[in-house]
Amino acid sequence: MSWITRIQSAIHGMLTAGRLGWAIESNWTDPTLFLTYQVVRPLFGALIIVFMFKVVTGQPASDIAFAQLYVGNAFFILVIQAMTGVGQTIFEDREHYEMIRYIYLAPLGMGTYLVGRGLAKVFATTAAVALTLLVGYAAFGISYSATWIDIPYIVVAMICGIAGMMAIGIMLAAVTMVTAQHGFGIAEGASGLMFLLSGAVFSIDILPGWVAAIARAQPLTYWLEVMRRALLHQPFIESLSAMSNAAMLWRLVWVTALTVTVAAVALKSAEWLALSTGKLDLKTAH
Amino acid sequence: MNENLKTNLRAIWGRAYVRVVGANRELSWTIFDVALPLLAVFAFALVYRGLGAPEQYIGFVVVSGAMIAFWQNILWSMAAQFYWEKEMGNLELYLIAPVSRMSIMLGMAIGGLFLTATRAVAILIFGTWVFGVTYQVSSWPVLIVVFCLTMSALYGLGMLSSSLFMLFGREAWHTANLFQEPVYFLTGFYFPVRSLGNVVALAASAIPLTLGLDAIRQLVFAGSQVNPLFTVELELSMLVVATIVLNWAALRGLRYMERLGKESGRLTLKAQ
Repeated sequence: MSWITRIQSAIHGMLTAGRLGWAIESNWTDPTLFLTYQVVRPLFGALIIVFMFKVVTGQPASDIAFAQLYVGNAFFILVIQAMTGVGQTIFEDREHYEMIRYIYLAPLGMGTYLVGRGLAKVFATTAAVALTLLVGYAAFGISYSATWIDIPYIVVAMICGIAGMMAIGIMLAAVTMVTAQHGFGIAEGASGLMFLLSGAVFSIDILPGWVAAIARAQPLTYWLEVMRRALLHQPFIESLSAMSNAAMLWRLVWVTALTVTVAAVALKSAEWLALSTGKLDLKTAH
Repeated sequence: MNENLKTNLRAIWGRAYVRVVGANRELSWTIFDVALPLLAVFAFALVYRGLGAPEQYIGFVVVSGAMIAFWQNILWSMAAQFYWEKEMGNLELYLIAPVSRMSIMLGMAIGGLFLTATRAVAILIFGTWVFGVTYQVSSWPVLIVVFCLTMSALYGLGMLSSSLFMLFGREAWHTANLFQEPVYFLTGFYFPVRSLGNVVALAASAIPLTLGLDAIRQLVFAGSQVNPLFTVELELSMLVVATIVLNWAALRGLRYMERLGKESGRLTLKAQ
């Protein structure tokens, strides 16, 4: 099979998995109710940040420090949904729908399938992120400084960001594949970890040195910094403020590439381990 | 001992046993259910540290982090559990068993409490240690009573919700999600509930967690300058009422929803 055919086949598989993911996500109700479900949780998440800021500082919400927290938190919604969504796909297909053995036997490959399912989550969550940003502008007076010239910068950053979250989600899926399911702790726990390590709502400079080093080794830190710079034209992380926007984007690109490589290796290893220990379709829910 | 009571006690133990023993057979839960959620709590504490907030706010976050563990357990392992049991094919077995549904739920609660208490204690110990939180407990006996009443009311709410989730299809997952951040916000998990304004705070006190959390904060951070919602005595009385009402409603709700499920044919309908 030529590499063009392979790419075509992978895209086809990804889109099919995406369509399946979208149907699982959304076709239990009408679009309006589905959209309501999608946006309520993130909006309240944003309100928590608003009140935490207001209670402590008493400053108006239009303050730049608030805007940086708000934007970081808004984009983190995508991380929660995409990353945990990919991770939970294994659990759903193994324990709930009991389809994982058939997916494994299908020719599209587990990685392609997981990315497709993750993309459906990203698509479903985009509206929530957009609405949260809009509420920030309309209700809290956050002024976004992005112009047309920032669009290509934002597009490249978004592609890298989504690839990064998918890669971390695939690592999570790899872990889920070889461990038992103890409620939804894995997904919630992993999003807590990334919430801490990506500096979504605080600068990673206040983390202890070794934790900050881990935060700098994963793509979401750079992605959120790039998005803040693009929308607010202000750096957030003091220790990275000397880096130009282009250098920051370049850092995001190669850290993402590295994360994707690690995720691919992790998934292959987990597949091998799950098969050799008989855990691939082992039901463990209690 | 009455034979019926013995059967129900065995059902409680049987349902709790699966969770406790199941967890201990796969110790990875200590990482996913204890260590990682701890980090989310740290993140919120760091927001306050980054904003230069008074140290008592960090203490609030640590205490709330421990309480979140119980709320998540009630939401995912109690309320949504009957939905999962239906999907896995266990619900019909529970329904034909010669025991009360409340015994099954109580078994789930006790089994889940073991895991959740471990997580909550870990959050309290590590959160206190890492952020140097200091507590000034005004009354240990009252604190214990408030905590037990809050748990009784919450688990009653969990059982009541499970009667609704029993009939849910895929919306169960989305509905459970819906009761996370909105509840964290309304109950004042990360900030004093009074800052929401009197009307919203008063409405939020319909959730027992709001009352329990506010009373616990008053008791463990005695002398704190933050305005409480009500006095501890009043919150205690309201929690007693909530415990009785919610547990009674759970008993009635489970019977009613089971009958409704049978009539509409949704009780064993899977993957909808």
